[in-house]
Amino acid sequence: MGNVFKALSDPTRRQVLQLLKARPMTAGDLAEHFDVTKPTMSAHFAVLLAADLIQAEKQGRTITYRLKMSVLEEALLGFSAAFGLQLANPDGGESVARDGDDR
Amino acid sequence: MTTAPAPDTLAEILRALLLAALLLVAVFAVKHLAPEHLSPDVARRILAVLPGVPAVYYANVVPKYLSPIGGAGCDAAAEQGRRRFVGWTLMLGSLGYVAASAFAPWSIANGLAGGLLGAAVLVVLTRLAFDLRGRRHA
Repeated sequence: MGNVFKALSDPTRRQVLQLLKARPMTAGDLAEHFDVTKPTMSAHFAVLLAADLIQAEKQGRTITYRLKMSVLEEALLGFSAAFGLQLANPDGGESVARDGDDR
Repeated sequence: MTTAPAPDTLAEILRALLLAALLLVAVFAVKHLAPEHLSPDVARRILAVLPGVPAVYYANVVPKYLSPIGGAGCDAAAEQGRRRFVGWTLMLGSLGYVAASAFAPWSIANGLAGGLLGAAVLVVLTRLAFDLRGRRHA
């Protein structure tokens, strides 16, 4: 459960999960939504995989990520998105701006 | 020749056995504690709530462990949406079962609990039937 809390503590990872709620996406599609470097994005994916919140499927050179969350984990994501982001930045645009510093 | 079960399968079997053991221990504990240490009403409520525990547990993990999304012809987004819908609906129905068993007036508790869980199952089956029909007509 510690892995799950660690994974949900980061706004970028929460945003990845929110995007994956709509549909499974490739690593490239997901990366387009964030202003971060490839290694940073890969590190985020690794944390989410370690927490068993997503699953990866490799087809050739493309990796597709799918959501793998229980109902409780999804509820936790909702809570952390509602309260975590608000605490981090009341304007709500903190995730990409802060991660942009990783470049 | 036999093959060893995958670690995930083993873990799931162990979790299920642990849950069953916990339920049995709870039943025996209630039996031994009542009526000296537990009022008959509390004992009755605990025994009514217990069947809802595995329902809540399995509803929670449905979207996570239901069989992986299918082959090339399958709409992955729709499949994922379906799994989330099934998980959330069963979870709400199961929580309703537990809440009704624990707090509703005893005269209607059993009927209400069963009705809530049954309604959730019915909603899930209806949705799956509509999806299946839609897929056949597509």
